[in-house]
Amino acid sequence: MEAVRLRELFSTFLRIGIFTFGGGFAMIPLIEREIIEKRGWIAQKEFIDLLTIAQSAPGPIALNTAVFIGYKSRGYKGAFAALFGVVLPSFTILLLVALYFTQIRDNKIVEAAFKGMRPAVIALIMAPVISLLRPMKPLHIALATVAAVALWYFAFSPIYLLLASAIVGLVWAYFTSKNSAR
Amino acid sequence: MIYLELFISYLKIGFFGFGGGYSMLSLIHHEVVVSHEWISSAALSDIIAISQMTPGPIAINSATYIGYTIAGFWGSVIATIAVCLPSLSIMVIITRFFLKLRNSNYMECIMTAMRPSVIGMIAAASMLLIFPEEKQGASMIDAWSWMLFAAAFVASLRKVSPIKLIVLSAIAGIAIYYIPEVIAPKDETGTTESATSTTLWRGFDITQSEVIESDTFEQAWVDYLYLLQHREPSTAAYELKTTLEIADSSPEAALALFDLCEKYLYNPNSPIRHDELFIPSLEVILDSPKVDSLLKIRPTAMLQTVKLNRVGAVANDFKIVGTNRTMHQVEAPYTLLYFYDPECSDCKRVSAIINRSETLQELEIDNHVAIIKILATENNELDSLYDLKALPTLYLLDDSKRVLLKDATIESIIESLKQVSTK
Repeated sequence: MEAVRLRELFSTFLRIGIFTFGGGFAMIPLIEREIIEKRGWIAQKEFIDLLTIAQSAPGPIALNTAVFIGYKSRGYKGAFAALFGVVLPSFTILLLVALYFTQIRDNKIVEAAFKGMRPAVIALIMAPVISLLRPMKPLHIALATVAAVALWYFAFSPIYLLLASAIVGLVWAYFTSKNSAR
Repeated sequence: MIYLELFISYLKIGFFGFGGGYSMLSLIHHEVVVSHEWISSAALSDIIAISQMTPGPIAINSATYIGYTIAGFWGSVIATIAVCLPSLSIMVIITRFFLKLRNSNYMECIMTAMRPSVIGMIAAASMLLIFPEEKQGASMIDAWSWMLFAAAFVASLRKVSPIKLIVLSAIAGIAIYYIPEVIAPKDETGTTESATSTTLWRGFDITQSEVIESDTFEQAWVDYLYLLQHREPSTAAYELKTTLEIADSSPEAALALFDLCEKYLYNPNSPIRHDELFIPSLEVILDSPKVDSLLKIRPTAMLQTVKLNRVGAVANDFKIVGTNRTMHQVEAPYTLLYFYDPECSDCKRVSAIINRSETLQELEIDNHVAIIKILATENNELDSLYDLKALPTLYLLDDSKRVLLKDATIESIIESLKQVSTK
């Protein structure tokens, strides 16, 4: 794969930054589309690993994702370019709002647009769940369902869930490597 | 130094905020509202509302906005950089580590075990967005929402570009929900009509702020507020609102009149304080198009507090310290909530009355009234559940924990309990 240009990295994340409405998860469908399907900077296979890392590390998911992809493609410079791209729209818009449009929340048109966007954003967040589950084994699908119910219905803390599954993976690795050594 | 404090606070938020935006909110709240008191809780919810209306991660949005609000342009730059730094440094390390080790058995196993949880997290996040804990800011508001949701879901599975879908759904939202303000001009002529017919209220021209600031007006206004309280509540609120709207033609006059309303209807030391009448005065200020939005931040917060536990509503539940019961689990025909601070002198007086009142003692022995004393100084979470701007604060609740008397005097509570018990 030829080296990704820094400018392209920046502008792609700028696009993503402009359209990430409704929190970090809303970025997932955009990443899938812009980075994986259109540009192929990371493989579909790596997508889930990227999400795992972005969610396990501290900090906003959107930033973590940008740094991961940026660093993987172009090292430190890439990480900066991607991060800068994803932060810039947010920064500029909020600064403009703080300066001139403190009444934005009373704006009827913006409010109406958001009433339409919110359900669509949820659908956009949900759709990748399907595409991620599709190649998985039934056991994994069952585990994902259990995890979703634990988090959503029983308000289980995501940090503990991630920690617990990492530990399970570690123990599992320990035993499999022991067996193969014998 | 404000820049340094801002930097450290947002560094913390960036560093400890696991799991993305919404779980960061409590951390942001702690830093900017609780420990530094840069902004109020209500102002933070305004910022969250604005973040939801603008693209980008909520952490960045709040950093930029709060940074700007408290320390200008450089404040916003510093807070934004601070919130990015942990992500940048930690993710670079993790990514390096991951790229090196990804073919090892350990990494493979850990990743395999974590994948289902991560997918579960995304699914849970979308479920929480569909069924939020708080009704405020809910995403699914009507049948249209579900239709848009279904359409976007199908389109997304069919690989329609997410950017296209977001733009289309925004257009659909405007088409469905935006009602061009045809009613507005009618409304405006309505008010200007009444304004021309009478900008006078009992001989005072209340569109002039100098008039409102005069002592003679203040006296007349206090008498008026006092008399209103003896009217039927909804008529009183309506009448007050109509009067306030006359003054609303000039923002200075509206604000001056609002100050008077606050002084007499809201200030804890006012003998005629009255939350239910204060609500219309807040609403007039908040609805006023001429009043600067910055001046509305405080009234917005006040409206939230005043609307807590209104008369007739079920009082907010809370855990009773030292027991494992909540207030709602206490069964009694009447419940007296007494929020106090052992240090304050008026609390000592009220405590003495509660302890000595024969009426109260008899009623308590007969299990007719449950008296719950709450040490308000120890219990910070109560601040968001009850309006405790002054102590002591007393509430009388009925058997289903609906508010009968709000922020009443102990004397009036005992008086009304006497009346119901003799019946």
